[in-house]
Amino acid sequence: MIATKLAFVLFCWTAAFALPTAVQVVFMHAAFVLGRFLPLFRPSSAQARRLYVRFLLYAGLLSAVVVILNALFVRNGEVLLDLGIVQFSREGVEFGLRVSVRLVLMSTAVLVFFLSTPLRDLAAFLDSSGAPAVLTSVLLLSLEFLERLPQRIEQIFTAQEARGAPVRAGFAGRFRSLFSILGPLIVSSIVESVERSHALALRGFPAPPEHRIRIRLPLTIPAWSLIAGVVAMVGWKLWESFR
Amino acid sequence: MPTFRERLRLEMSGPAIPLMAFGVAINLTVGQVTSALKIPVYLDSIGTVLVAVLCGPWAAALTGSLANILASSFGSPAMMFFIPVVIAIGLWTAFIARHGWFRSLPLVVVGGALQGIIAALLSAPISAYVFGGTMLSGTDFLVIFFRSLGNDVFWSALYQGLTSDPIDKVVTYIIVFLTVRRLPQRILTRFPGSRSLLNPQ
Repeated sequence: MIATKLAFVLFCWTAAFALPTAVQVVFMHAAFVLGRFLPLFRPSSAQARRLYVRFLLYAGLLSAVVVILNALFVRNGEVLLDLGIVQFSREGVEFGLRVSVRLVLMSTAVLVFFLSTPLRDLAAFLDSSGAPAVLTSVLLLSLEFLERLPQRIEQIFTAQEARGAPVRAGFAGRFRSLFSILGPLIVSSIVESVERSHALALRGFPAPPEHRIRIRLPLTIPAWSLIAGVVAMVGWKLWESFR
Repeated sequence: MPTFRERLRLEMSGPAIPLMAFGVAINLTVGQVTSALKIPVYLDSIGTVLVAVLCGPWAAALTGSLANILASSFGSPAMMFFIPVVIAIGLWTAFIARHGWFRSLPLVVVGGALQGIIAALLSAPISAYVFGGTMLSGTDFLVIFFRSLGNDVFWSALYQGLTSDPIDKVVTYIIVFLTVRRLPQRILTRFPGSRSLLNPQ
């Protein structure tokens, strides 16, 4: 199923470059609907759902800002609205819309993929697809460290503040504090990496591969259909440009 | 002379594996520190630079790529498109580290500034041609400001990058330089990149 979702992301990215903006708007809404209703693409947790809703609001708001700012500052072509001091140009509005739709379509596809795929499932998929053990190990360890690092940063921050680091002083003082906070964070990470490598070595990691790494991607009928769509869009775009 | 495969295995074994994971996590969480201190820098490639200096170019490229992929999954989907930029950061940093630039502060500053320029040059076409200069981030206002001065999208994105990237990268390089210098030799020598960090006897 993850292969199908990857094909969906590829399809949306190709559409973002190959198809006209009006068609992209249709696909963008289709991606929103898929992310909301189709079980395969639905966010996998309550936190992911919140992130999805927040992204939609953020994308909507910033798209509006992008269109307005481009309309204000790109002063080419016909003037759509003249308010004396400020003028809205047609070229700016069209450019802003084109850019926003493309960005939101591509971003929604990526986000729908990640929010509906728990990263541990993605690591398992990579493993079963024949990806190197180092890749999956780094991915899984990163997830573990990502849960712990914010707490460690907070501890170092509090400790340095207690020692009198100027974390709330003027800019120069705060800049110095940056070094006194990041230094211990990085050093402790390096030391823990060395300790962890001992533990990994004791458990026999990384074992030599039993066979050559071979990528295996089991593709379903929907995945093949999406890939066919990608090929068709690329073909159409090439035909258009050489016509 | 080790083959490419042997070098790759050396770069991505032992303490390099947990360090790469730490690099990914640091890239993604360092914003917590800069925003708490209210300092207007990103430092979001600090983990990549650290791995490049201590391990090597390909480990750094993998670290940066994974960090951007994870950032996409955590609600910043546009980061996915900047993977070529983080790969270049990893390769460039490892290249200058191998040539001993991380032994002296002035060279680190020059290296960081050059890194910022390279990052700006590489990210400008992606930003301009993929996103039309708009990344749904705070720097969009800078791009629009440069556009309002009459520049086209590419040059506006490039000027925005040249304005913010070199400062960010110089600070990143200095932090990594100062931290690595303080490491005891018995820890440092566990990493494949240590030879180019220790002063030749």
